[in-house]
Amino acid sequence: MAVDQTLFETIHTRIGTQRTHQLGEVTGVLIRRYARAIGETDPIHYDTAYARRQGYADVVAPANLVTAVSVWDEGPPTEDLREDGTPAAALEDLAPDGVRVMGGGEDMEFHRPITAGTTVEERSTMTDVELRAGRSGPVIVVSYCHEFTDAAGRLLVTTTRKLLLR
Amino acid sequence: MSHRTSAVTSAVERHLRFGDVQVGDRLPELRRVPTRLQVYRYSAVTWNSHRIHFDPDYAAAEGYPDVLVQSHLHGAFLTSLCTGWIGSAGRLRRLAVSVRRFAVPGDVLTCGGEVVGTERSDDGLGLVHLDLQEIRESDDAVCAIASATVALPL
Repeated sequence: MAVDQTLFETIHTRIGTQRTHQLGEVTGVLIRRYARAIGETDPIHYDTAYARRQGYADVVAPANLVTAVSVWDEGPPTEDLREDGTPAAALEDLAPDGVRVMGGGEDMEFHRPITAGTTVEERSTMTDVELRAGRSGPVIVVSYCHEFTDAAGRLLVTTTRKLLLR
Repeated sequence: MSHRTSAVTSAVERHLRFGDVQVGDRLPELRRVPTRLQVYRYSAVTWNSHRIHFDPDYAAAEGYPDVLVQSHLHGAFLTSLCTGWIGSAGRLRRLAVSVRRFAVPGDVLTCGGEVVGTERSDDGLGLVHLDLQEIRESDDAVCAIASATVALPL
């Protein structure tokens, strides 16, 4: 299947679709590993005692951590991954094999810091879809709004994100 | 803070204040050289199994010279640029990132930025608006651009 008017129309019918995911707990080890992976050295991400002296409950996640995690659970078995290695479900079954998927930018708003032990829920809404003429053929741009909240329902991060299908 | 354990700790305990900042100020540059190992660990910790980030043969089949730096890793570098500059008293409020060109391991990426606006917020803080770029040293390609807002104590 290719990126064409038919795929665009299929995706277009899903505008407004909302999904809620329980992401579980953002653990200290996730925060420390993420900080390590991005090359951060700030002890606010590593040292609980230091973080507490700064007034936080525990180590603080680098700001874009929750938006960067691709899959929060174990993901599907290997044989159920797409050819490019990604789980079909992560794309909400929008992109058939052969359609390339890329991130097309993200606008993140950080409402409150996320500390180790915070339980996070994500509500995702497909907000828009466009069919554009790209340099190497048609591109479908799918926009999402994601809201991350804690167990008390307090807003942590909101983000709008574009996915490019080619 | 009397307990300082390292030079790194001291550096991040710098308190940037709203009054210290003016439109036109440049942020200290942050240099990052992602390696295959870093890109691999970033995929691992985010449970991102896209082959484009760890399988050079797959990347070649898509026409790229090597595995690609994840768009969120570009975003993480720009996050570090902001949080490193503001220190522990400030907060990053907003970051809008647009990746313009792909980057591969070994690329020297220099993140920099400029203060483009300042305003007082309703909650008694100072808001500083920033334009940011991540530039590849070898050919001056702009790999990512971003705008950000940070909140600082007055």
